Amino acid sequence: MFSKFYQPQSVEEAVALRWREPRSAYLGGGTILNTLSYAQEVPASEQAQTVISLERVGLGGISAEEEGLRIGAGTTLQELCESPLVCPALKEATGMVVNRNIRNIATVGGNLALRASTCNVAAMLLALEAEVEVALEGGQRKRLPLEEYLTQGLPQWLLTAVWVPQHSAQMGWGARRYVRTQNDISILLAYAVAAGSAQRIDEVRLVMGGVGPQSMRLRQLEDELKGGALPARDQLVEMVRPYLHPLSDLRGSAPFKREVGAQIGAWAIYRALGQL
Amino acid sequence: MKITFLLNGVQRQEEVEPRERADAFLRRLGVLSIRNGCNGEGTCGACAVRFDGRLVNSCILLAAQLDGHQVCTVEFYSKHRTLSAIQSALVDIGVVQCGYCSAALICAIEELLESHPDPSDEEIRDALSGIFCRCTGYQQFYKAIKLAAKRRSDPHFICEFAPAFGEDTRLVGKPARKIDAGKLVRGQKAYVEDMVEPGACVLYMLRSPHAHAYIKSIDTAAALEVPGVVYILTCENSPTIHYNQAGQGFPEPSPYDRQLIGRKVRHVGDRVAAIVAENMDAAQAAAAKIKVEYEVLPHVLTVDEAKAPGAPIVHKAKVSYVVGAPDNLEEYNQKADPRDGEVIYQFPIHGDPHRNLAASVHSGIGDIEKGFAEADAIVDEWYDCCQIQCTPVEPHVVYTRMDGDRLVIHASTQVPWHLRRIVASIVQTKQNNIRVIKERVGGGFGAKQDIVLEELCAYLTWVTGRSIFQRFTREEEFIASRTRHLAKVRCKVGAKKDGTVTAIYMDVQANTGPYGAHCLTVPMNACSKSLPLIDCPNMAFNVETWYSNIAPTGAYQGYGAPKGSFALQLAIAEVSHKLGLDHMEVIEKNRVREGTRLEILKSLGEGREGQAETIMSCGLGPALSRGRELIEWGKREESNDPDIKIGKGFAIVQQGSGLPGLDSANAEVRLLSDGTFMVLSGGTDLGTGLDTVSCKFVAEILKVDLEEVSILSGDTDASPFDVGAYASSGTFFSGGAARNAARNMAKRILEVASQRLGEPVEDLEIVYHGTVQGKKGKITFAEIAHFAEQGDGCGQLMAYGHFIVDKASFPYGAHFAQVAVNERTGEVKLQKYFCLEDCGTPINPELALGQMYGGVLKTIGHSLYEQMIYDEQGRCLNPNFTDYKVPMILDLPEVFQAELIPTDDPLGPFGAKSISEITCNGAAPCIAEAIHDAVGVWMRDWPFTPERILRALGRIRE
Repeated sequence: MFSKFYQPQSVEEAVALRWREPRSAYLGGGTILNTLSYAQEVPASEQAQTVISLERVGLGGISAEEEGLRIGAGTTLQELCESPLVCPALKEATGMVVNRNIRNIATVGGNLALRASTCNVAAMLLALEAEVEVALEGGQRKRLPLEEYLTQGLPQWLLTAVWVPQHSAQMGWGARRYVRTQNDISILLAYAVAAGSAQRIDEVRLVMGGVGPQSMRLRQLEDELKGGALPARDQLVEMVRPYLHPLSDLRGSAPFKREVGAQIGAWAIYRALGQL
Repeated sequence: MKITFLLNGVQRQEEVEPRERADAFLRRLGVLSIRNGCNGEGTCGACAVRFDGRLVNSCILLAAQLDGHQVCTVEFYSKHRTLSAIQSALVDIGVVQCGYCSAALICAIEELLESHPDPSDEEIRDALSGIFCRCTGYQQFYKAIKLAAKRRSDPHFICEFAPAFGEDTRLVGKPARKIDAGKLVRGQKAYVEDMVEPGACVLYMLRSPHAHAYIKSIDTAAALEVPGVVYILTCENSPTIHYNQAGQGFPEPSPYDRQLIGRKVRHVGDRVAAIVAENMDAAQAAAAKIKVEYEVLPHVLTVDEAKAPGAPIVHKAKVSYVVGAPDNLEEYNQKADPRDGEVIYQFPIHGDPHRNLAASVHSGIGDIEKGFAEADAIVDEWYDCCQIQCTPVEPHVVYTRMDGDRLVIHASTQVPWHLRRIVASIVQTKQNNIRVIKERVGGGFGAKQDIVLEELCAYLTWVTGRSIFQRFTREEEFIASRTRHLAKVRCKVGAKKDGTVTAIYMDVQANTGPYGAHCLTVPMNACSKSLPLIDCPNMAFNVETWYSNIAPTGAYQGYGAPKGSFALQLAIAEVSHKLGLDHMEVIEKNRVREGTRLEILKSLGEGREGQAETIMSCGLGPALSRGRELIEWGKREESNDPDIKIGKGFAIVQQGSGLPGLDSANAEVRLLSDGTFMVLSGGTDLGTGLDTVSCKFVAEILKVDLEEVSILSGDTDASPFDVGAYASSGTFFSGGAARNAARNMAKRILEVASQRLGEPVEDLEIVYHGTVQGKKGKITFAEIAHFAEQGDGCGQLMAYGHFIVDKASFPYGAHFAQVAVNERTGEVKLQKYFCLEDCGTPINPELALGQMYGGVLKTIGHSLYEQMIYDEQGRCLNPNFTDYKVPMILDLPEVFQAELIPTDDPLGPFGAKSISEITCNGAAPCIAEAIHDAVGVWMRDWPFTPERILRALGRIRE
């Protein structure tokens, strides 16, 4: 249960608080931290007691820079959907986040910091080979690939912005999720971006979620496909399948998730290459 | 900490705690329109407000986050007594049913129309995507929002709100504003939670972690020491009165098999200790200090487990019968364990609790063996219906208080009078000492037909003298309120080559869970509302209902009929397919029609002798013909997407209109001093528009405007007796009572007018507006009232109306679905859904359509998504909206159309029949048939999930 609420005015101040306060958490929109599932599912001894609101730190704004698109970590998902600067692939993936009420308050930074296996925004940003900008202890800034942040970032690091490279934003894409109802967290997702044609795949990236502990690039598969012709659909499904290791849970059995995962993975690549 | 923010345009400075949620904080400030349907899960949207203009769920916002921002709630748009453009449009189109989510929806639409003054359907879907409405089915919102958009620039803009019915009526059959809708869209005080006074205690329930166990000991000493704790009730100090929570007519066909808190727990979530405290923190702290020692018993979760030889017995109790006890009862009871309490049957319903059998019945007509022998093809399959929850957005809630020596219960209930009776029996007082006030109900759907928390709060208020408020969490709603009875239904259908159905056999194996609420009647209704659709001389059924240790079951809109309808309608589709015949031809050949004699009803009395009936009105013919035209029956559709296969299906449906011979309703009409009227009705409006129905009948008959009739209903002190809102009885029975009261008032008016005008009654006629016209003179109702109230007058004119029937009026309908099935993923998309229903004369057409859309969308959910899932220990794994998936606006069929098929029923008031429950009977069979038509597999288990479809297609490798 929260007992302290801070509203720092700068990134430096926020980061200093986070390092200083032993059981603290950054608060973006609050769509994770403030929910019943956080209170019920995170062990009481690990729950944050101190909330550091990022609202006044100044993390908003989307801007087109020479090296790509810079998205402030405090940007809400709905702002992302509405911005004319954002590429359609990222908009489509962001639009898959459950509903408008959530998108209106959830932030890009909060979504990435969650490191969920089926985070729509993170998965598409991985496919787009995005980089993130973080503030380390003492406020020092560092830029690193999103993939590295998701696997190695410390919870105290404050994510301040995301960079989407220009060339990624211009590639073809395919975005597909498996949900039980349209208003559902994604159970499985497959996001692909690609360049080339069915005759010759110049580049392809496939990110799958819900089939392992985190959203993951299927790099080995990408390497197999690169430079070659697009395999037949069923053959591609078989090529995707071995990389998928979902767990059985009440949202679906592992064999089912593997089957659907393989299907939507292949679908996303086909779509990214304009074949569907 | 101190925060400053703008609330509905007014700057506020308030002290908040860091942990305080914005929804609770805003309600603390008196913003009543903030509702709560998910306990901070952030999934229902009932608490949504505009936060700096954007729609946000306030339950997942900290109060501290409001600092420096603007918050706008529906109160902001309700400043004057006129309705805003959006509010008036929602009311006119009829999308305000229970109203519990209306405030949030209005905020959503405000945000939408500010940024999109002329929104597309897609923009409307997106705007409403986060708000869960269980009543309306959303479809009419498209029209309402487009009307609102027009009214923003032209406040007086009108269009056709809904089709009108009735050639010779002014009000009946014509759209009119639902009389409580204005209050609900303004976010005014309306629901139980709005009535709670400062200083009220809360009730927190310590619940069983075990599916089946004896409580060996319970120690509350330390808990009672917690400051703020007022009282704790456990099996040690609970009264030992046995009762059933089912809100059915007395004597109930449900066994009295529970106590307030017994010595045995029979499901995870069963009552262990009820803690009354000054606040929730104290109650929860006390709960943590209660020491309970359990003797854990093996449990049964399924019918197969419950009926297996040597199975653990859920009620190893002493069994007795008020009437009709068998001779061997003493011997039977020798095996009883006193810790199991008792099972008291009011009359035999063929239960055998020591075998886990709660109730059973079997009967039939003709000779089914002969019928099957005549058949050229037989389908004999099991159809399995899982456990689903009603999910009203407002959970179960009650507020009890003492008024002098009388107990007052503010309830969100479908059965105020049954509630009063049950509470009186538990607190051991007379009914005159109890007042039940039915407040506006935030969704009932059958779950609120049962008394699942009211009797406990009432008892504790009676004992302690303290006011007590209890509100279920969403989890409690799943594990401790009511769910649909599970059932496996075996359906055997035989038919000749020409399509003639020769015999039908249905075997319903139902699971009633830990207590037997509705254990006979819900499963039996699976047969009662499906067999009489088919004109077949040989029909038989067997119903057995078993106790188990799952979460309690009970009534749910449709009341067993959806299960039977699914089984029988799909079995007929299957046998048609097997014979190579068009399903439509087979149905046309075998369906009932006006004048058909329903012999099967002799075998289907609800706990009493049944009687054969003749169908007096039947819209099946026009419903089928309109449906086949809309869906283009017989035309095969192809998709451009190679992964997608398209199929079509249909089903015919029926329901009842209350229970003839069992139900009764009463109403009173009073003439007020200025010639207007007050109706006192026993009817329980759940948001369905029943109050409006009653007022329309009175205004129609007495020839005044609807605005000149007001109503007070569902208050046991002020309104006359009514059995309550269930079994689709509202319009027919409660409305019928209001009609009869109005007719009697008309007689009284004419009698008095005759005296005043000096003309015989035969020469007088009531004419619009509120006037008695004679051959020589005329007199207004106001003049009659003025005379009546004078010192030399006849006294206020009051008239009473009672409604009972001994014959049944059945609504009929047909549902058609077109689905797109993805063969690779098993995903099903509803491309088209047409719901054609005959409710006689639709009294409130726009609300009747809303009932249809709402019922269909619920059952689309049941067919495709919804299912309570348990682990081996009997714990429900998905008691929340994150994992129990309900359909919302984004799940609507691409084309979704409800149409009313008018017929004139001779028994119903103004020719009306029921509308609500029948809507739940068509989705499962017509979607299942459509899936088969698309990909060739028969889906016989609810829900038809992608995983089940892929498995049926053999596409999942283990």
